[in-house]
Amino acid sequence: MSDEPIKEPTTGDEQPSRRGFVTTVLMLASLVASYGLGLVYFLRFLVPPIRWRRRELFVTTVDRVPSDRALVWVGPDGQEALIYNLNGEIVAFSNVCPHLGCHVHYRPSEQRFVCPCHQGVFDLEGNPIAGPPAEENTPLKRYNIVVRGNAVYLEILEEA
Amino acid sequence: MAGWWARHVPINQETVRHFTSEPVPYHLRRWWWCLGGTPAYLFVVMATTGILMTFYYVPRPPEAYYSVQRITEEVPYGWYIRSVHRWAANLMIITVILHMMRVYFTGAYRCPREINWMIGVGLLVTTLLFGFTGYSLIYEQLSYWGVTVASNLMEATPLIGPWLARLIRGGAEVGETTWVRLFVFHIGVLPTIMTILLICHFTLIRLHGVTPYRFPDEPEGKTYPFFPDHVLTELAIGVFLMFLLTCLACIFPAELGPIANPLVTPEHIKPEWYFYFTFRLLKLMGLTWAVLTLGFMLFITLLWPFIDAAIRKYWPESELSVYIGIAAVVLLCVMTVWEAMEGTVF
Repeated sequence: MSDEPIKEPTTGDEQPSRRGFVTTVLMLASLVASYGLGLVYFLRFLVPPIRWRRRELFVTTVDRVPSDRALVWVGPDGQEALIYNLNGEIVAFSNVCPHLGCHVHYRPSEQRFVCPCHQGVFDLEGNPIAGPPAEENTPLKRYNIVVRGNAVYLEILEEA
Repeated sequence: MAGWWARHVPINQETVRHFTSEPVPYHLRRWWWCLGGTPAYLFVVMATTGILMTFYYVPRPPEAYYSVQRITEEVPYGWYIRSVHRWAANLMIITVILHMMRVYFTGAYRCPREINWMIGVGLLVTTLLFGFTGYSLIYEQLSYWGVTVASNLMEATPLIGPWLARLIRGGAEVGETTWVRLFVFHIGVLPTIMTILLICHFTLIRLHGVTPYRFPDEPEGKTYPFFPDHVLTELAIGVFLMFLLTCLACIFPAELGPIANPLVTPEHIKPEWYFYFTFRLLKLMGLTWAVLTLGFMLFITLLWPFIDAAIRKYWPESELSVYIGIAAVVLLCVMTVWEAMEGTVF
């Protein structure tokens, strides 16, 4: 006598159910794969690709850069910068608040840049001194200035 | 004729009777128990007035502003349609919040109605997004800077932020394409989401039945039929709402601020009152903390029924949920009033 358990006689029903299981799994997998791929395409369609390019834009001449106030320069495509002479050096800051993108205003009496949206305050070197930008320590973005002869150029990065 | 209809639209009369004559508990006789139906009614009002305005609105700056101006100043009854749309939006947010408060403080979100609470939170978020995209479409100063702030706020969301911001802007920065997208969200995406969520919300209410509740002066187990009694109550509320909306539209018609200027953020800027809470929060803390706090609050609100169940499991007699609810309402009110009181920014 062997101790092996007696095998249940096969009824023949198992084969189709196993096949059915595989079919269901394959069917589901292909459905998920195809609809998933469709979803990825839809989402990629909704989010446009962005290409950046660097440009140098003429701003003004060296002798016309003020030191007692900020020159608000507006570029051809609406780019903006605050330009002034800071202790002999020409500096340019973006007027876009690094907090949530509102435009800062220059207050000559306090020599501060103030954002009207959430009350961020920056000093003349673009450093945050009050409000949410000070909490996060996010200064005003500084642009690169290129001086060629008497001409002042601003280096900007823009959407191509 | 009846036979023709029965053959072409084969609906079982018995089923229709069963679905329309659900016994409604007696406490729903009190109007403030019908606050859930009010935003649904207002949604219909807004869909109607909204579709009407779509005939004139141009979703591309700066024509967007001029088309709203045309609706307000030239088109016959345009001022009325726009004012009703705007006031219905404000009332909808108020009634959604009141409805949520009623559900919260009567514990109607508890087992087995947790999922419906979560759908309700989804409806609240959708309503707020409707409000935001709605006032953005006008393309006045508030619209432009509101969109700028909101898209940058989205960008600060961990992981998906930059992708989300690009999705709403349609580019690297807020521009012309953004308004086309806001329009699509306002009249296509959000109404679809809202309709699906509303159907789920109502279906679950119908399947579970109205949460049992009994006031001391009410007879035990007394009910009244949904149709026609309750439907008539809702219709009466609807008539009152139309009257109220008309009064508000006539006395305080929707105004039009200055056209958006992408170069200058106005010195004094505030969003609509329902975002005062968020606006104040953004002033109080750094961006990362503000985003995390907002996300955390939404997460807690969404999962509240389960958190409440856990609290009650360990402290069955605890009234903690009531105190937390009161604290949340007080916080919401204080932040909103605080922001509202600040007439001048500096």
